[in-house]
Amino acid sequence: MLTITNLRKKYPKSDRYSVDGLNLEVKQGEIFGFLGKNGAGKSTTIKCLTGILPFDEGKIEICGYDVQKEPNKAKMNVGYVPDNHSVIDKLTGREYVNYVADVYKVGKEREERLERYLELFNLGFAVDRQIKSYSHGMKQKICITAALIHEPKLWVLDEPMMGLDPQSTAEIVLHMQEHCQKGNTVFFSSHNLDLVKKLCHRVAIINNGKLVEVMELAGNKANQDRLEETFYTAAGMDREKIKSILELENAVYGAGGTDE
Amino acid sequence: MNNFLITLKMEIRGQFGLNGVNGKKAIGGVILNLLFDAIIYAIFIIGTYFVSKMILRGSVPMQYEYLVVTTLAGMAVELCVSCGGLIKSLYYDVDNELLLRFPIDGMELFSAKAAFVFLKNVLLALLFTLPFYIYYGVFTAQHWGFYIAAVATALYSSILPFFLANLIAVPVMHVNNTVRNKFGLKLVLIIVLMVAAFSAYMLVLRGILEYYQTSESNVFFSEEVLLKIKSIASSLVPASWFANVLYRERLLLNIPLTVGVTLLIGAVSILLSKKSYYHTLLKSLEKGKETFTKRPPKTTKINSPFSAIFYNELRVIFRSFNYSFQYLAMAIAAPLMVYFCNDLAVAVGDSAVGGAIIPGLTLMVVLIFDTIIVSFASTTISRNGETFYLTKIFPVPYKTQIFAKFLLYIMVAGGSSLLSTLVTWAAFGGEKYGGYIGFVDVIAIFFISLLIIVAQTAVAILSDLRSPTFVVNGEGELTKVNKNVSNSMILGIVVAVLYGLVCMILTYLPIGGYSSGTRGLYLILAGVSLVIAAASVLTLFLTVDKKYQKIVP
Repeated sequence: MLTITNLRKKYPKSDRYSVDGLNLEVKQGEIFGFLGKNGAGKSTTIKCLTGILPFDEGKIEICGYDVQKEPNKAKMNVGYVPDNHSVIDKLTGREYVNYVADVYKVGKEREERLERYLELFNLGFAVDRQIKSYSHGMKQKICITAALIHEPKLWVLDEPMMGLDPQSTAEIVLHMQEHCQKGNTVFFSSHNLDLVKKLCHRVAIINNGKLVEVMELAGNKANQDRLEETFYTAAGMDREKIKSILELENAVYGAGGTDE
Repeated sequence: MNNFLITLKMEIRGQFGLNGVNGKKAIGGVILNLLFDAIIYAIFIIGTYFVSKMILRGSVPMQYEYLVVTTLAGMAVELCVSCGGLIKSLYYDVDNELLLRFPIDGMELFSAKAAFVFLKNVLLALLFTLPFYIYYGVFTAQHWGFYIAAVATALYSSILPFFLANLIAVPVMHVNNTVRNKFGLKLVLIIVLMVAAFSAYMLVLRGILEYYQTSESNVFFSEEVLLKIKSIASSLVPASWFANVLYRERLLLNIPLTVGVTLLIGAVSILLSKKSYYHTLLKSLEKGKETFTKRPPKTTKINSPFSAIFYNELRVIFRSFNYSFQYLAMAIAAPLMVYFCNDLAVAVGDSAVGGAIIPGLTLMVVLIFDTIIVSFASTTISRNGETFYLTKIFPVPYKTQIFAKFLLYIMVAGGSSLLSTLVTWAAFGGEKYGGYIGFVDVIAIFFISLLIIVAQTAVAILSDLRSPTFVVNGEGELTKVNKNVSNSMILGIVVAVLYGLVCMILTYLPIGGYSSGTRGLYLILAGVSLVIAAASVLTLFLTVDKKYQKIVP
C-alpha cells in the first residue's frame, strides 16, 4: 500500500537531514502508527508522501504509484488530514466537502457519504454554516470528512487527536478501525502511546529522521509492554529517567498503561 | 520596556515585514524593496518639481492657490492612509485577539497601534506635503525662516487628519460589522460609491473645460476665473487656514483657528476612542466569528476538478470585502470610468488635436484599467494563506489548477475590456466625432487589450509563484499587498502609456493616409502583443510545476 525507500529530505536552510534514509512498508488493511518526539521527522515524512514537500533522495510508492513520477495517480489514493486543520474558512462545511469531492472526481455517491459522516461526527447542525465559525474539533471533523469523501485506500493523519475531546477521539478511532476493516490502510502520527498501543497493528519509531524500530503490536503483548521504553530510549532519554517514569506510570495507571 | 513600547515595536516590525528577516538573502530583499520605493519616490519628486514650477512661475502664477491645494492634497492623503491604517491595525489585525489575552490595557493597545499610524502620517507629511512647500519656497524665493515654518506646518497639519480618521474609523467599523456577511450588497455599494466619486470628479473637470471652451475671452485664467479660483481656494477649510499661515495671511486669526480646530477634533476623537475602542474591538472580534448559514441545496451539483477550482476561486473572491473591492468592483466599474475618461479627453482632444486621437486614447485608458484589474492576479498564490498546501495534495496537475484561475482572471478582465470598448463605440462612434472610432477600431482595441491582459495575467501569476507572501489576517485575507502587485501595476501602466502614445501620435501625424495607417498600426501592435502574450504564457506554463513544487511550508 505504502512503500518508502531510502527517503532523504533536507530543508534548504538546514545543515542536517530531517529524514535520513527512511525505509518503511505499510501493508493493506493495517493501522500503522508513526511515532517520534517533536522534530523527529514524522510530519516531514508525511508531507513528502502527500506531495506537499519535494524530497532529495529515495522513492515513495502509494498503491504502486511513484509519487514523483505519477503524483496525481498516487494522490488519488490518499486522504490526508493535516495537523493544522487548514480549511477554506470562507466556505460552508458542505461547500468545502463538495469542493474536495469535485477535485477527487466523486460522483453522486458523495451525498450518502457526507450524510454518513455528518451523522458519525454529529456535525449536521453546522454543515451549512461558514467554517470560520467552527470550533477546533469541528474543523478537524470537517477535514476528516473531506479527506474520506473519495474513500481513499490510504488514509494519512498527522497528529489527528491533538486538542480533540474524548468523544471525538473515540469516534475517529472507531472510524479508523472501520476504514481498515474495508481493506484500506490508516497511517497516522501520534504522541498518544496508549492509544497507539490499543489501536495499531504495527508502529514505526523514528528519531532524528532515522528509523529506530518497527514493532508488531497486534496480538504481541511483549511489544505492547515495551513500547514506552523503546520510545523513550529512541528519544534519547537516559535509562535512570526512563525507569523512574515507567515506575510512576505503573503506579498511576497499572502495568503497561499511559494515558494522555 | 512598558506595554506601550513593546506593542509599538512589534507593530513597526510587523508592518515593515522585519519579523523573521534573517540571512543575507532576506536582508537583500528588504534593501531591494527600499530601493524600488526610492525609485518611485524619485519619479514623484521630479514630476511634482516640474508641475510646481509651471504653476508657480507660469504666466499667471497662483501661489496662494498652490499652497491651499497642496496642503489639501496632503491632508486628504493623510486622512485616507490614516483611516485605512487605523481600521486595519486597530480592528482587523490578527494579533489583536492574542494581545487581549495579555495583561495589556485596552487604551495601551489603542495608543500603541494608533501611535504607529500617527508616525506613518508624520512620515507622509515629510515625504509628500513638505516637498511641495520646499518647491514653493524655492520658486518664490522665500527667506530661510519660511522653511522652518514649512516643516512645522507640514507636521502640524498632519495631526488633524489623524484625529479625523479616528472619528471616522469607529462608525465605519460599526457599518462594516452590520453588513459583514452581505457580500452582494457590499459589492453593489462599493461600485455605486466608486462610480459616483469618479463621475463627480470627471464632471467637475468637464465643467471646468466647458467653461474654458465657451468663455468669451477664451483665456482660461482670465481675471474672473482667477478670482473664482481664489475664492474657491480660500473656502477649502481647514487646508486654507494652514496655507494662510504659510502665506503669512492674517496670522493672528489663522494660527488660533488651526490650533483650535485641531484641539477640538483631537479632544472629541480621544474621548470617543477611549469610550468606544475596546467595545468596538470586542464587537469586531465577536462579529468576525459570526457567519452566514446557507440553505441546504436540493440537489448536489457535480463539477469537474477544473470547474470546481474555477468556481471556488470566484466564490472566495466574492465573499471577501477586500478582494471584491480590488477586483470585481473595479472590473464592473471600469467601463463607466473608461467612458468618463474618454468623454473628458474628447472635450480636450477634439479642439486641440482632433478626434483622431480617440482610438489611441481608448486603447490607453482601457489598458490602464485592465492593469488595475489584472494586478489582482499577483496574489493568486499568496491569497490562499496556509490553505495553499491543500492544493498541493489535490490529484489535479498544478498546470490545470493554475490554468483554471488564469482563465477566470482573463474572463473577468477581458469581459470588462470588451464592455469598455463597446461603451466607447456606442458613445463616441457616431458622426459627431467624425466616425473616428469605428467597428474595426473596437475590434482591434479589444483584441490588443485581450492579448495584453493574457500577458499581464501570466506575468502576475508567475511573479507570485516565484515569491508568495502568506501573511493573512483573522479573516484569512492578505494583510499587506506584496511587491508583486506594485511591480505588475507599474509594468502594465508603462505598456498602456507606450501603446496609447504610439497609437495617438501615429494616427495624429499624417503618415500614409488615415485608414490604412491606423490599421497597419493595429496590426503591428497586435503582432507585438501576440509575441509578448505567447512568451509570457509559455514561460508560466512551462515553469509552473517547478515553481509550485518549490513553495514549501
